Amino acid sequence: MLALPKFVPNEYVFRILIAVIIDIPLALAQNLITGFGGMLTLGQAAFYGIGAYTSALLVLRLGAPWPVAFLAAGLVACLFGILLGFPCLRVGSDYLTLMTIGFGEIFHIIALNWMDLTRGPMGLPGVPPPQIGPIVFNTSTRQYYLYLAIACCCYLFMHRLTHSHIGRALIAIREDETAAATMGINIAYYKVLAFAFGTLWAGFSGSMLAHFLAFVGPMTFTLNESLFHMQMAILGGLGSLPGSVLGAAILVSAPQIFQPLYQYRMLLNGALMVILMAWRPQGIMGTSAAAKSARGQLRRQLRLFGRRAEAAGTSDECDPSAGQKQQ
Amino acid sequence: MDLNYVVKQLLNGLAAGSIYALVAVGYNMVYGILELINFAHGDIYMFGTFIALSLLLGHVPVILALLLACVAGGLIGMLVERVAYRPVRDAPRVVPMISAVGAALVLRNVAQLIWGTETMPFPEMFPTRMVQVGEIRFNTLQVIILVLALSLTGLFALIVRKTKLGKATRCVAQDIPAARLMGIEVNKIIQFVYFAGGFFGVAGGVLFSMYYAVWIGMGFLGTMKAWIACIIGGIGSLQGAFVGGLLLGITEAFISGFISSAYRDAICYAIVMVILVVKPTGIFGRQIAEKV
Repeated sequence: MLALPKFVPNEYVFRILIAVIIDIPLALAQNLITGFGGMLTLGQAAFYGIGAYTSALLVLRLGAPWPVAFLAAGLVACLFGILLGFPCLRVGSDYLTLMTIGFGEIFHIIALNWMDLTRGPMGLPGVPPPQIGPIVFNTSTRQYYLYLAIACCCYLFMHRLTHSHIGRALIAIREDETAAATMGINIAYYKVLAFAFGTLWAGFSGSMLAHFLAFVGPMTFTLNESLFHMQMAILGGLGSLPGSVLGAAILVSAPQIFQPLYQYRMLLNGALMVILMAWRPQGIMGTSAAAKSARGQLRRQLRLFGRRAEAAGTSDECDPSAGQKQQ
Repeated sequence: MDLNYVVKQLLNGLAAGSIYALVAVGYNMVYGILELINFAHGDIYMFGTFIALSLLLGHVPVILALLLACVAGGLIGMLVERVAYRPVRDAPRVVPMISAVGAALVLRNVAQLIWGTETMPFPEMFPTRMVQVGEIRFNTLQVIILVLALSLTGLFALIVRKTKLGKATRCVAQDIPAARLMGIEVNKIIQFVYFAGGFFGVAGGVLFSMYYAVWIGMGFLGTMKAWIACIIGGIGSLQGAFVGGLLLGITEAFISGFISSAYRDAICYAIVMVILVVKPTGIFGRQIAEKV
C-alpha cells in the first residue's frame, strides 16, 4: 500500500484511490452499527455531512488549524450520533431505520436552507488542504499517505473494538437481544456505544472529504449516500472488517473502471442488495453469522413444529406455544 | 389570524391528507401481513403512476388507462414480493429490510431509465375550476380528490372487513402457521395483499400527481409519508392509518401556511420522532408483544 503511488499511472487514478480510502471508514462505521450492532441505520450520510461541514466551517470561518477541525468534525458528529442514539433505543428496529432516515432528511433540508451557515445549495468552496504545522498536504501523494494513515487508524480502532468485550457484547445483542440481556449485558449502553463510534468515524471521513474535494455541498449527503454506505458494508459482508474495505474498494472503483456502467450504478447496486440478501447475506467475506441464524431460525421452527405434532399425537394437552406469533 | 386563510389551509390539508390516507391504508396492510417495512411501496406507486401517464398520453380512454395502471402496480407489487421478500422471509430482520431497500432502488432506477428525471404535469382528466362559496374560494379538483380518495379507502376497508379474502388476510396477519393449519394458502394471501397494496397505491399515486405532478422522487416521498401516517395513527390499525394520513396532510398544510414551507418536511420528521419516543403505538395502535 505504501509503495502504491509509484505504480499509479496518472492523477485521475490517484484521486479514485483516495476516494476509496475516504470511503473505507464509512463502510467500517456502517458495518459496526449494522453488521455488529444489528441496527439498520440509513442516516450515516448526515453524520458524514456534519463532519464535512464542521471541518470546513471551522477552517474557513474561524481559521482553525486542520488537526483541530478534523477532531472536531468527528466529535460533533459523534455528539449528534449519541443524541439520535438515545431515542432510537426506545423504539423497535423498524422505527430505528425510519428515525435515521428522518434525521438524514432533516440534516439535508437544514444544509439546503440555512443560508447564513451553509450557503445552501451553493455550498462552501475553497476548503484548504490538510495541514499539520508546517507540512501542507497539497499534493495527491501527500494526501494519499495522510488519509491512508487515518484509514489504517480506523481499521485498527474497529479491529480492537470488535475484538474487545464491546464487540462481543454487540454480537450477542445482534444474535439474540433477550438472551444477551439475561446474561447481564446492558443493551442500551452498547447500542449507543456502537452508534457513537460509528458516527465518530463518519464525521472524520466527512472532514477528509471536505479537505480532499476543497468543497462541501448539501447534494453529497443524501439518502443515496447513506444507501451507498450500506451497500459497501453488505457487499464485503456484515460483520467482517476486511470485507468492508473490499466493499469500499469495489463499489467506489468499479463504476470508474467500467465507465459505460456509470449511469446504471444505482440500479446495479440495488439489484446487488436484493441478490446478495437472497443468495449470500454474509457478503463476500462476512462471518456466516447472518446466514447461520437464518438457517437456525428455520431449524427452530421445524423443531417446534415437530414437537407440536408430537404433542398433538400423544396427548390431549394443549400446546401453550401454539398461539405464539411466529415470524 | 385570517379565518378564510385557515379554512383554505384546512382544505389543502384535507385534499393532500386524503391521498396520504389512501396510500397509508394499503401500506399499513402490507406492513401488517409480514411486519416488513415495504420500502418499495412508494416506488411501486410511482411506477404505476408513470404507466398511467404514458397510457393517457397515448390516448387510451381515461378509465381503462387508470385501471390498467392500477393492475400493473398490483402486479409489480406481487413481483417485488416474490423476488425480493419471499426468499428472505425467514432470515433475521435486517436481511429482508436491506432487500426491500434494494428493490426500491431497482424500481426507481428502471423508471428513471424509461421516463427520465424530469418533473411532468399530469394530464387533466376532469375539467376543474375555482368555486366560490361565501368567502372561501377553492378548486373543484380538491373536492374531487377528496371524494375519490375517501371512497377508494372505503372500498379497501370493505374488502378487508367483509369479504372472505379479507378475513383470510386478517388471519394470516395474526398468525401465519395457524393460518396455514386452517388451510389458508398463505403465500397466495400474501401475494394478494401485495397486489392490493400496489393497486390502491397507484390509485393514490394518480390522485397525488393530479394534485402535484409526476416525478421520480415521488416514490420515496410516498413511502415516507405513508409510513409517517401509519406511525401517527398506529401501525396495524386500518382506521389509524386513515386518520394518520388526514392528520399528516392537515399538519403539513398548516406548517407550510404558517411557519415555513422549506422546513415543512423537516418539521414533520421531527414531530414523528417525538411521537415515536413519547407514544410509539400511535393514536389507535395497540402494544404488540415482542416475540421471545
